[in-house]
Amino acid sequence: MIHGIWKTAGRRTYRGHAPSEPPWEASIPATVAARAINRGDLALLEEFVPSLPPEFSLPEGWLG
Amino acid sequence: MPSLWFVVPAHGRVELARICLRQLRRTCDALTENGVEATAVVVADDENLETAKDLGFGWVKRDNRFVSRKFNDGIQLACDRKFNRRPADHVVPCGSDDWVDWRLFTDLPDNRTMVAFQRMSFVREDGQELTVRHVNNEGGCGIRIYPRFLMQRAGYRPADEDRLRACDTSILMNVKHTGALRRIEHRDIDPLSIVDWKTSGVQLNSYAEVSSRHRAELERDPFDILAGRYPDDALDEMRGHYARRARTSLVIA
Repeated sequence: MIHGIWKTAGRRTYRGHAPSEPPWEASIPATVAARAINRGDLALLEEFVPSLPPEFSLPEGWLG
Repeated sequence: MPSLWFVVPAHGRVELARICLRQLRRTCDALTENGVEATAVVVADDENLETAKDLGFGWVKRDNRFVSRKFNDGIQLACDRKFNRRPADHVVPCGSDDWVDWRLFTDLPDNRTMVAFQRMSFVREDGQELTVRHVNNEGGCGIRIYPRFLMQRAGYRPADEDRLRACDTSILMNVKHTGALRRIEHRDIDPLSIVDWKTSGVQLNSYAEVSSRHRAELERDPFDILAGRYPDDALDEMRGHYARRARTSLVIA
């Protein structure tokens, strides 16, 4: 699975995203993404591993 | 003592969520008194975070773009040693509009078993009617007990990151794909042990949709039938909430 920021590159809508739309974020299976990129329907702008955002806290007293 | 975290994505409907989170606090306290160290993490980016902090729960600040990501954040904070030196042994995804009876979570599954519940209750958006339904699918309703081991095998982020709905299905499918899940244990429970309090206008699945999709077993006044099962304080707060909403609707009309 590749998670990242994508842009519809061709003339057709891809996964509900029209070419005119701004870049969108999604997880796409690697083989599916590779085929779409090879067809010219899709471009991967940025790949990243999802994780916790910077602001979070454990429950009160959880670590004793 | 084994530990369990409820993972609660929240967005808007602040008053209802506050009532439900207060009830979740009581659920956690009752569990802790009965041998399961329980707490919750609320994932939100609005006033619900303040409620979580007031109640001593964990929290993650995350926008509401993908609900699935909020589940993943909560599960990761609960289970991943990278963020939590004392990871939870089990996690339970839970709605910010749900009440759950603590007795459902005293018997915890082994590492390769997920516990699912197929019978639960829904309260109509006007608070006037409760229906008991049989959610006849493999995973049952969204309230499930997952051991940490299964979450670990799914990289602590078991849901597809980009889902707006069907997050419970996504979690289960991806956990299955890891090959680590051996058994789904369906527990036959009193359906009043799980109550989903509906709110008009903000539901992914409205009361009417639930009613049309699942087999009905009972329909009653919620406050009559839940009396004695849940604390009077919680029921009073909820009754007041629906009464205020009804008055507001009348004024707007």
